[in-house]
Amino acid sequence: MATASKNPPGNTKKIHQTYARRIEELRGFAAADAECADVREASEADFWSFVKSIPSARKAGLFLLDNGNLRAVWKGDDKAHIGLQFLGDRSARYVIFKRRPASEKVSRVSGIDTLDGVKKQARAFGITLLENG
Amino acid sequence: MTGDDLPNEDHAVRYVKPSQFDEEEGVDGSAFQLRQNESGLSVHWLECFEDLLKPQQLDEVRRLSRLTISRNGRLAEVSVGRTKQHLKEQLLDIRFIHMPLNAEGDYEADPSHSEISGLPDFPDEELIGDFIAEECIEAVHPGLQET
Repeated sequence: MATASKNPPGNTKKIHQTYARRIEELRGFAAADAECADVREASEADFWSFVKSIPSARKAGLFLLDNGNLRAVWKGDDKAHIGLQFLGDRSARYVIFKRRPASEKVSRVSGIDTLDGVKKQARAFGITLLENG
Repeated sequence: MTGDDLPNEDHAVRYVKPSQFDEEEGVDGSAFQLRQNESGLSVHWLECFEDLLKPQQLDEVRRLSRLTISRNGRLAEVSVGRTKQHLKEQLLDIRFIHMPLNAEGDYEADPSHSEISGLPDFPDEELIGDFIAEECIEAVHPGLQET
């Protein structure tokens, strides 16, 4: 499975353009899928607010849930993984995976937190995917 | 036979909608989450078509599936036994159960239809979905074959 691409300095604008194209693509998929709601404005607004607050982060994979919420997934080396469903009220459902140093064990945690709280959770878990490429 | 467990050495595919798949990033875990009012996750048992090679098994799944399969969608393949092994620490009673569908209206019978049971719903479904997507998918096949 591919991992997220790194974000060289000055690449933020390009990544955001990729996100904008992907959101349009997801809108098209939703229009053709009777079970999938269109992208919720509030979820999209939270997504943009979040990614603009982490300008040096790698590019995430972006997906659309049937409820119309956007879900972004950042993957890194050594099984690091953070998935965020943007709930549209300045909060997100998060899933974090992190391989513990010098161990084959992968710790996993999930929950709901504010967008700022999610960043703190990731930091506390030793996940740097949101901070730098 | 209906209700039997699929053999551990066999494989199943799950349809992944275009909104759940990214060419660079792969399959999102949301493809392996139960929806409201679902007790099991629909999959197709490949070795049900025992006289066929894998490409033809996949074609039979595409032909018989009652889902609208999109050109941009994918079929994610998992091993029955290895998926259960990967999940055994989190889910004690995960099963792959044969649930063949009878012919109905315009639909032919689908002998490959099966379900994964024992998956969690809220609040653990995203964690387990991501885990399956990361650890258990062994191949990703086109939703529709290019002609």
